[in-house]
Amino acid sequence: MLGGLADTQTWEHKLYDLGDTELAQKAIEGTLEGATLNETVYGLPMNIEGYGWLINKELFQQAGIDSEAIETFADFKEAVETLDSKKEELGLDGVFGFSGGETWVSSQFSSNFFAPEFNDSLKETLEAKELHLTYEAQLKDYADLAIQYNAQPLESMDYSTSVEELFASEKVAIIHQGNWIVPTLNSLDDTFAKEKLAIVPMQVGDGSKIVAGPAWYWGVNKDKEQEVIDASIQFLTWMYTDEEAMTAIIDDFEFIPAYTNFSSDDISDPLSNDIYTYLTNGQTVPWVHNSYPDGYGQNIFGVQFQAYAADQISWTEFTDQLKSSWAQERQ
Amino acid sequence: MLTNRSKSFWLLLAPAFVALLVVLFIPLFTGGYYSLTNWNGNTISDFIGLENYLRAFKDQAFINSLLFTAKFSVYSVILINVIALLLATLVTQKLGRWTTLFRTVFFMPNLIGGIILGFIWQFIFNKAFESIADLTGINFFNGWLNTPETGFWGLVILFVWQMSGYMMLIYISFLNNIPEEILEAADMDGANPLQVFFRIKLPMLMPAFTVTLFLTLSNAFKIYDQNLALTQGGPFNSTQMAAMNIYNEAFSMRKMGFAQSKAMIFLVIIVIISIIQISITRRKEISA
Repeated sequence: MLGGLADTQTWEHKLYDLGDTELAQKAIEGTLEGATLNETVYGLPMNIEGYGWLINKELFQQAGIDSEAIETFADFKEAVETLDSKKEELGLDGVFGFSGGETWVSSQFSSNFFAPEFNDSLKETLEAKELHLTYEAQLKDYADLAIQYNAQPLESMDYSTSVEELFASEKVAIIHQGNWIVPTLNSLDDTFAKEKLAIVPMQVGDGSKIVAGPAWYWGVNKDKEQEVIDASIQFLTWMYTDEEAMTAIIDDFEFIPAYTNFSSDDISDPLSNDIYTYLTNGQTVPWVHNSYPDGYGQNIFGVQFQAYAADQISWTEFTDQLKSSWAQERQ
Repeated sequence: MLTNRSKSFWLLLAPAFVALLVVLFIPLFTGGYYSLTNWNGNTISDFIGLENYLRAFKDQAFINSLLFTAKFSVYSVILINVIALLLATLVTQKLGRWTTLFRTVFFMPNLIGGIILGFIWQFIFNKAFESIADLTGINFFNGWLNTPETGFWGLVILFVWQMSGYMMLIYISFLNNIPEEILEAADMDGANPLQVFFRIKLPMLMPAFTVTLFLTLSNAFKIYDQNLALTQGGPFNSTQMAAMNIYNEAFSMRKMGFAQSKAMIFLVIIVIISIIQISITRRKEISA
């Protein structure tokens, strides 16, 4: 399993060329980019995952906010402030439940602001020698908002507290997560995902976008005998084209499929359906954080973000550190 | 008779020797070689000499983690040994059947693996302390593990709780081995319990100190799983200890060569400290 272009580059010398396979032809436009190097396709997408500000739209409604009408950062900020003023009556611990203690969450958060700088291209992110933080202002706006209105100190909140304790029991209205939390939410409250879960896009570059794309790719080891390679490819093809397998992918795994032979009507989960729609309407940016230098997303961005949230470093120190580390890692 | 020359000597030694070779010596030498390259664990591997070591000395995060580890070790070693000695003297009083019970109970924390212990204490610090804070309103219990200081003390408390029982057992065995005659003689000379403790038991315990100080010091320096489970090095890497820094550099940042050089430096530091400690306590040992 390859986690994107950086992983593909690391393992390039062991990967089999999958460009001629049936699945490669069926992959949704643009999804192969995350595993294509030197014009050779080395990986097939496992699924599509989308993430961003996941909200409890019922809480928004109770506060008198229409979550679908949020079209600018100003609208978003206003919604947050309204929710904060009504904390008591809504029974909220805070507006946000951003788990900054998990550096991978912050790393994902950064994609929203790094992608437009690199023209939404995974390849460009992988090759960039310098980071300019063109969308620094937007990053600061959203970051400061989350830090200010977080239910507990952002830098130490963990995943379990954020998703299972606070979000699922309606103590916070907004978290930064993705559709992979749906099975967890269903196990705690089976009406939540169907009735209360929604996603709100961010306005960073042009237009309102969420982050969506293949999270993982299947790679095939080229150093095995040809029949093992063929069997592997056959298995992968079966997984995404056989009726029974396709039903399992949608219903049991609750994946959003990355192949055109699936129909969007099959996707029963509302959030997954939304994400699929965003993707097909071109309103998404890809998972660029998988193309950062090794470990940068978590150990540099994630850690420094914690330091900023805890007031240990100033904004300028934060951005300087981000830029200098990027340049150093990309020498 | 088994001497260095007989075949059976070497045959019996072979399994342990092979194990040591494979697990200790070979990794040590290959690691040493890799520390002089910029190996990334996969493909790139150019010989770059001592560049990694120079970089390691300038790496602020590494230096911070070493200082943090040193601070942690000093506090834990002192606390563990004081508490263990206290418990040992308590348990060696004439308590009859209670002795075994107490010994078992105090030793049990040591049996729990580092990761589980980390999670248990994380729960205690995060959830249990929060509840106490809510119920009683004492702010001291609020927000543990959110700040560098509480993270530090959390780690110290966890490690002290885990190791005290083990050290207690060592002290107990040495205390029980102090010849009765000496204690009786002291009693007849009119020494009170405190004098007996400080003038007789403590000096006779020097061999014990050699062992316990060495164990606690080297274990404290090498901590990883408790660190990972309790704080993950956070917030913002302020509670990141040396082992975690090296591990992250190797497997997260994929800089195996650089991480290996840091590991070699770490090894040298631990060896030097251990040698100093053992030679000091060895010199103070008295035989009856």
